Order: sequence, then structure tokens, then C-alpha cells
Amino acid sequence: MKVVERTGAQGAEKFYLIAVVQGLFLTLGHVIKNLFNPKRMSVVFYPEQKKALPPATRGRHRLMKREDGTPRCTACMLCATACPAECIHIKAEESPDPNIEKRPEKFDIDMLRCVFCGFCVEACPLDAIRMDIPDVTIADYTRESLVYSKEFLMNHDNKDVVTGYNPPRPVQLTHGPHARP
Amino acid sequence: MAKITIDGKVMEVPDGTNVLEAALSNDVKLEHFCYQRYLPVAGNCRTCMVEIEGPKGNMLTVGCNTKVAEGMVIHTLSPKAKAAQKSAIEMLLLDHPLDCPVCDKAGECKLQNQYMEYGLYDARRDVPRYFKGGKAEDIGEHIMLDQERCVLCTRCIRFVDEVPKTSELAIVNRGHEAKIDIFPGVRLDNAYSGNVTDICPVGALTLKEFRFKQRVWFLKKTESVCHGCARGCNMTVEQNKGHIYRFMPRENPELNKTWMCDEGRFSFDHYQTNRAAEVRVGKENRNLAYGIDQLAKLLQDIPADQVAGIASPTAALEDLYVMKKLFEKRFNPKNLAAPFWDKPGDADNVLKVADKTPNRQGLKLLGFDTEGKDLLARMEKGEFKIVLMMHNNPFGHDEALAQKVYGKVNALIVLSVHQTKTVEKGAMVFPVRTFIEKNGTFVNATSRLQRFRQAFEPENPDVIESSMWLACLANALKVEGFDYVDTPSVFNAMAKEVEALKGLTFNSIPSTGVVLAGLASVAEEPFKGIKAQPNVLGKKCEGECSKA
Repeated sequence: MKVVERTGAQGAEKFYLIAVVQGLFLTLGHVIKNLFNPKRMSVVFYPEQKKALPPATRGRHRLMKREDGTPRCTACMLCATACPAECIHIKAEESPDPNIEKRPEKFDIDMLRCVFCGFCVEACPLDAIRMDIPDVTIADYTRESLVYSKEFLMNHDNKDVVTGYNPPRPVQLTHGPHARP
Repeated sequence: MAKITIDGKVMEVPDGTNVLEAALSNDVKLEHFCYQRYLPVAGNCRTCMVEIEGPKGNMLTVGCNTKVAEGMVIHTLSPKAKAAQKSAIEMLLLDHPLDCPVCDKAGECKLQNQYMEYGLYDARRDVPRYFKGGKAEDIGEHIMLDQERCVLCTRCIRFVDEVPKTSELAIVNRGHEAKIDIFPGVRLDNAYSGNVTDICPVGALTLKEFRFKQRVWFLKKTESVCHGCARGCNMTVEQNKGHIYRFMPRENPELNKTWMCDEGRFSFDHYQTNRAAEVRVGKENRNLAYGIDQLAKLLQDIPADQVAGIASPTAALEDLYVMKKLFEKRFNPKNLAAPFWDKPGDADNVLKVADKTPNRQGLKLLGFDTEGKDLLARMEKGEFKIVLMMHNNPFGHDEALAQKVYGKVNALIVLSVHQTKTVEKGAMVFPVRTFIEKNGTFVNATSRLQRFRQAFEPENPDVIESSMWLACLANALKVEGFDYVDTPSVFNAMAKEVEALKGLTFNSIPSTGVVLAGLASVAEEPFKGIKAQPNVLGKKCEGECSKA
């Protein structure tokens, strides 16, 4: 083991005022440059203007739909199991189609508890939940309105759009009319 | 006893035991599928393949259908045995649908567990999968059948043939078309039908009452005893966040094996609906401390002879003991009895007994008067000013009489689990815990003392155990000797005084219970005329017997 002796600032470095003044000059330099060239400024006028989110952004959840508009979700509860914040509340029911067998009667996500970890998306065996709606500023006036229902989460046009947060996985439906040879 | 060697481990096991049972009872892991301890051996899944040394060379055979013999040398981990076990699993999985996410058995599925351990992961099948069809078929009052998931282990068939002897199930068709089905025009509606879902190693048979309600890995399990009748079948309470999802039978080789009747199994909803919720004094809802205080004040001015107590065979042994002690020390023990009116239930030769209360033998053990005719007659005459009613309504058969008798009592104090008619008539009402929410003991019809444990704490802190409530009342009345902290401490105090319980403590009661000497059994042993134990059970071999 080698012991390195820490000497700290020495000599002129000890006189911190020099560094402080240097810093002030740097800021002043930017101010002057920006004054003559406003395009150089990196300010976004946020509520009016929004920046495009990077493709790996985890946004708000949505529930994907089958071709006939019913949820892809089979209420297997794997997302609720994986969820570290315990914010997914699912109630399952019997589906009239015996090949689907199980479907969610209720699928609530409590956004006040959600930590946006994306574990639910990774756990889903059917690619039924994605976190790719570019809505990251979630705010409201009541707690109840921030518990998103199944209907709300399915209110989208089912396109492969948006932020692109949908971890690739081999999706192979072994059940349902689409899966059989 | 036969001395055998499994994987180099020498052990002595009872004669007639099979190799699988010998291995399992001595902590040697050997996967099995169609074998169930309390059903005859079928030997059709071939997953418990072992290699046995013999004079003509080593032999591969199934562990479940091979009886042990003196000097037998068995290998479960040899390459030959391993390969055989693995190929058996591969065969079982060939056409098994991969719908674990929607399957209710996922999490406690034997096939799933074994696949995780022995599975090939990469399928070798090069022809298209064959789907039998027959998903979610309604075959009985409580049972749903999924023929596609079935692996034809025939456990369910053997069960309905051997235990309830109703034989509703059979394998139909041959080869890859073979599937389990009910006979035409017959439904799986026997009194023990729920058991087929427990023994089903896959998700082919599922319970309608549990289907899709909760995933099994969320359930917390607590050892308990069924409250439904005087048999006291051993079971586990499975709950999550204070909501009970199911009762499952628990193995007790001396009592219920691994079976349970449907009546008991589906009684769980009874304990979480129509509950008495609040302490009521007069017409107001108050808290527990106020209620006990008011009651103590009321009791102080009343002669001890004018207070009657009605105990109940549905209460735990601890509750009864504290009540008896309170009446002995503060009131007149002659005014305490346990007359219980209940609709007579049906009995059979399997498990059910006619007495539908769990602890009538406990009353006998503590010397309660279970008829209480004298007490009831005196109550009808109006001799008592205060009646303390614990989980009971002796006039349940006659509403008009109940109205008349309770009208003559100044104050009817009711301890109740449910919101009953008696609760409506009570001057003071104290909600108490069910057997699921407390620790305690019952004595069943065959004099077996059995312990049940608390599964969860009720939401309302004013809902306490009857024994603790009685102890609180005794303390409020300044009676000495009621400094109990919890129900186990009541049991430990009781065990020192009651002859039959001498030497026992709450935690030392074995999980299968103990038969109390000196207390006559009032019912026949279960499984009369049924070969309930077709296999010789293995025995753990420790100390001397395991030495080579």
C-alpha cells in the first residue's frame, strides 16, 4: 500500500480570490457573446416551448391494444409484482374468449407512487404496457385524478410512436387466435 | 426396518416404504409429479427415475413404485438417472401450453418449478405443437378444467376414486389425444371436490372461488385449524393485506392427511363479511376503553349472583378459561354455562362430523355445563340483571322467545364476531376477533388439542380477542390474577392448572396437535372404510440409524 500525502493548495493557489475573479470573467465573456449572438443561447422558454425528448426517455405509461381494441394485457400481475413502488393495482376477471381466458377488469396506475423505473415494461411478457407517451410533467389538482384508469391508459391510437422506450424482447404470443399456426 | 444407501448416504427406513418416500423424508431431493403420499402409486410421470445397483448391473426404475429392500444402493444423481429425469420432464413439456402468465397455478406449479431446475430451455421439437383445446371448461360447482394444461398424472382421478369414492373423472381418448374429462351427464360436485385443485400439479384444475383473485406469490400463509366442524382439519390461512383469499388443507398424517371438505374450504368469506365493526354502548358507537369502563361501573352495583355468563363452543380454549376464571373469582360460577343452539349438520365417513362447532370438547375439558337448561330456565324467569354473552345465541331457534327473554335482562352484554340479531338486542356490544385474527387452541371431536396462529391484525384496534377483553374487564373490576399479555400466556397459565394440559406450552404444541389423555373422544376416527394411507410413510433417520 502506498500512502499519498495530500498537500492541498499551495502558494498562489491558496489565495482563492484569483480563481473567483477568473470565474466572473468567464461568465462575463458568455454574457457579452450572447448579447451579440442570441442564437447561441441554450434557453428554452419552457411552458410555451418544449424540447423534443430523447428517444430513451421513459414517459407516461400506456396500455397497448389488440387489433379489435381490447387490451393486450392478460392481468398476469407480473408488472405489479415487479413494481418496487407498488403503484399498479390490477383486478382480473374471466374473459368471454376461452383462448384469452383472463383480462383486466381494473388496471390502475397510481402516478403519485410511480418512480418511473420501467420495471413494469420489462416484466410484461405480452408487450402490453409501454412507457413511451412523451408526458413527463405530470401534475394535477387532486390525488384521485392522478390514479390513471385502464380507459385512460388505453386512450391512444396504438401506433409504435413516441419516445421509443420499449425495451426489445422476443415477443411470441403462444395463446390467442393470432398465435396459433 | 431396512438399511439402504441413497447417494452415498446410509439410512434406515421402515419396511415397505418406497424409494421416493425414503429419499424425501431424509432430505434427498428427488423430483416427483404423479406421486402423492396419500394416494395409490400410479408411476406414470417417470420424473422420479433412479438408478439402483443390482446383480445384473445397474437398473433404471421409478422411485415411487419400488419398495426398499435391505442393502439397496440407490443413485439419484448419477448421469444415467439425471438423463432419465430430464427426458421425462422434456416429454411432459412437449405440448404443455406456455400460458403461465394467465395460469392460476403459476408460482406453485410443480411443472414450472421442475422446468426451472431441469428444463432443457431450448425446445428440440421440429414438428408443429399440438393443441388439445378444451380451455376453461366448467366441470363442477367449484372446479374449472383446462385440458390443454393437463399432464395426465391422474392424481385427481385417483383422489375421486379413493377418498370420496364418487369417480367422476377419467382419461378419455388415447395417445396424444388423451385428456381428463368428466363422464357425460356427471359433474364434479362431490363434497371434497376442492382437493383435486390442490393435488393437481399443474393448472389444469382450478378453483372458481380463487381463480384470478390473487397471484399465489402475494399470499402469506399461517398455520391454522378449520373452524367449520368438530373435526378441526389442519389448514393454512392464505391472505394478503388482511384479505383472506383461500383456505388450504395442511398435512396432518394423523388427522386429515392432506384433505379438507368444500364446506370448510369455502367458509373463508364468512369470516370477512357481515362483521360487527364498532364498540356500541347504548345507541352510540364508542371506543373500547369507554365501553369497558361503563360496564365495570354497571357491574359494581349489581350483586354477583345476578350476573350470568353464556360461553360458546365456537370460542377458543383460552377465551373459555378466562371466562370461567372471571366467574369463579368475581361472580357465581353456577351462573356460567355454554348452551349452544346450532342447526345440525351432515356427517360422513370421510371427514365431516355432525357437530358444527370447533371446540365443544374444550368446554368439556374445562368442565362447562354444555346443556345449561337450568341457567336458561332461570333467564326466562328473569333472575338475571346482566347477561354476558360470548359468541352465542342460545335462543337462535325461536326469535319471539329470544325477544321475550332478553327483554327481561337489564343489560345484555354481547361479544360478537358478526353483526347478528343478538348484537342488535345488546345493550353493549363489543366486536371481537375471529379465530383467524388471534392465537389460540381448539380441542376437536377426537380429543386432539390443536393450535391456530394469528394471520393478521384487524384494522380496528378496538377489536380484541375475547380472552383479552375478559381480562380487561377483570382488571377494570380490580380482580387479581388477570395480568395476561396475550393468548399464548393465557394458555401457559391454563396448562399449569388443567390436568390434561400439564407440561404443555403454547409453542410446544406440535403443529399436528396432541391427543389429550383422559378426555373421551366423541366422534369416530376419519376415513372409515377408506384406504387413506396406501403408502408406508418414510421416517427421518437420525443419530444411530444413519451410521454405516
